[in-house]
Amino acid sequence: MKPRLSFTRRDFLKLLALLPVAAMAKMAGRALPASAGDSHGAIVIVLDALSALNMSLYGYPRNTTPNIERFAKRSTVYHAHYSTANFTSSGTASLLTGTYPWTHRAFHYEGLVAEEKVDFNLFRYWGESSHRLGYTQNTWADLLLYQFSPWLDEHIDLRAFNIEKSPFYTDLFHADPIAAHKSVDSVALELEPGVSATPALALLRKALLHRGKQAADRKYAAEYPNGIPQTLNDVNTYFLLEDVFDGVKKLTASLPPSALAYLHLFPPHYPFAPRREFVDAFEDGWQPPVKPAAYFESPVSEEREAAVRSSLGQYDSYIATVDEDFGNLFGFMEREGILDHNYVILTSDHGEVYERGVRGHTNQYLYEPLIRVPLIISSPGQTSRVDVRTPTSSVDLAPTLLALTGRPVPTECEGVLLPGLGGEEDAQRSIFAIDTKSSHVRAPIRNATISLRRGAYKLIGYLGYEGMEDGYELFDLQNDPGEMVNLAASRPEIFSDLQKEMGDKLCEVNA
Amino acid sequence: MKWIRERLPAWPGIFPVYSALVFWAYGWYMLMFMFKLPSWMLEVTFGEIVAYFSYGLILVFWDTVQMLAILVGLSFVLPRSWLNDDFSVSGTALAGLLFFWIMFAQFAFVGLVNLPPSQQIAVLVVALLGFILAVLLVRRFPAFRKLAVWFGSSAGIFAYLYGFLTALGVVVVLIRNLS
Repeated sequence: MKPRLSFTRRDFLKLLALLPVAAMAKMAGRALPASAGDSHGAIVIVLDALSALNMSLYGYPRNTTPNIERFAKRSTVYHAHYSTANFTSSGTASLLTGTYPWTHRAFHYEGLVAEEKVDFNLFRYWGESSHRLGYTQNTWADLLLYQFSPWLDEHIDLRAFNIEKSPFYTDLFHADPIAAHKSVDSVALELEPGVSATPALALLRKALLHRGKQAADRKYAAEYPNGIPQTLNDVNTYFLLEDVFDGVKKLTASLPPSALAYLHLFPPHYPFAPRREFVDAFEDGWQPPVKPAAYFESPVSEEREAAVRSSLGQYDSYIATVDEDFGNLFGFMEREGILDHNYVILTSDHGEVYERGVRGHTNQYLYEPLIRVPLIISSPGQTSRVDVRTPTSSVDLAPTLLALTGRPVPTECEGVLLPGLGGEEDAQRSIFAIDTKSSHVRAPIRNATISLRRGAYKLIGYLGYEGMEDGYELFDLQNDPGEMVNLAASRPEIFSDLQKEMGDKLCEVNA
Repeated sequence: MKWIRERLPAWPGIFPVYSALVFWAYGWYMLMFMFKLPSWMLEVTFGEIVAYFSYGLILVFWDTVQMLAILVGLSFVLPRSWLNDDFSVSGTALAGLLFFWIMFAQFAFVGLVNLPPSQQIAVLVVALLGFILAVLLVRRFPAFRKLAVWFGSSAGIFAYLYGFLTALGVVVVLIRNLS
């Protein structure tokens, strides 16, 4: 007998309820996960100090990231993604907590998440039924991983894939690594480059590390003519980029289903150590446009601007080196089917600047090169590229990952679901970034640089700096993406509207 | 063993030298701690700051032991009459010099290691001449000698004070690492 087709009114209503989901799936190409509450894992790869503005993926004229572009072909690419800050501690804490610096309070160098906020972290939200792994080469990010260690199943030593593995604070004081780092590593051994509270120990350590680094530089001179990669300062830990990426391959291959892996690599952070084929790759005579001096800088002379820009080529070369290794990692993940079972995220904790008389990122500025970072998310089984051009923030990543994998999004998260991955595009959404290194973690924020991006406009406020009146810069990023012309005086309505929102936000967070 | 005992400066001779080292090394550490303190006060609790201070005290103690070992080692290798016989006075004069030379060496480390070998040797010769000059000054000129003796004995109070603080620091660090 032919089976009877039964299609009740209830079935019709169920189908009707699925219509919005189908519409969203269409909007997001093939980026939307197959089902909510899935068992997919997430691999978050952070490349430290990678500015989106120096990536060919985002339109940079130098071909710095061809391999990341290959990865992007099967990913959702966010074109206006912002870090919440301009340095590691703040930016990383936002990534891992889904909150802005005024909430997590890790806004000092080597900053920590406030004790009462430590519970709000992605590892905890991910749940103990899934494996949670953390690895970073950056000691400041490692301090945060130590803070979150109660919710980490595996915390990989930051020297795991380095050549140099000499005794370090974590070996001597593994039960108290944060205090040990703060006092031993950053004060006793190196308070500032060249300044140590315990000179004899510092000299001994430097001599030993230097000897090892020199031997390694000689050994790998053919591959790395400018010396092998290392973490900050001249005699700190050193490594081969390919070793680190091989280590990351092993880690990703060993992940059980539905695991969360946070992998934070130091390159392309200064000091730059490009491989031979990239050392002179960008000696092409190209010069970026000369921009007005940064807010606190005196007018920039040609010589000074030339000196600032002299590092740009090496930064680009190092990005290209890292991109090549990322390409290998991407190929490995593709071959091993890792991309089919995991959300793979490539992003950065902050950017880098080589213009306006300013170099690097240890400053109080929030210009685009410092806070615009890449965000590329490959969903399991995604085969085509989706581009999202509305502004997004690094606080959005944690809630998005939780929602994508069927976990509840805690109310503490200040981010929203990323467009294309469950969230709606909102061109008028307000996106903030803040630098407030001299504020007290347990007191209201009084002096800070704050940026507010809303729609095409971006307002940067320099508030409460000692001996200075509050100042502002307003840019129309749609017509002036290089932030060349300050419109604060010529667009009073937009300026006062954004200024009020910024002031209100500061009052709200200080309440 | 007998040879070692004969070459090792007597404890009454070592103590002023160690006291001088304590004065310089702990004094410098206190200065650096004060430099860092305002930023820590913005960020961490008083208890944490005490812990950071404690870790530092232990490392400074180790620093002073290293430097003392260098001076005692010198008295072993040099002819007895050069340093050993007058260790308390000459050693006290050398303690400050050694401390500042090490400070300079680690401050200018990158520059020094990148110097051509001939210039590196020149830097070492200058340092050595400085050491010899210091010893000659306290040997030949009674005023300098008196100054060194006075400094060595006066700095003793710092050895006791910082010794006590370091012992407390050890307790703090032990509690934090064993609990």
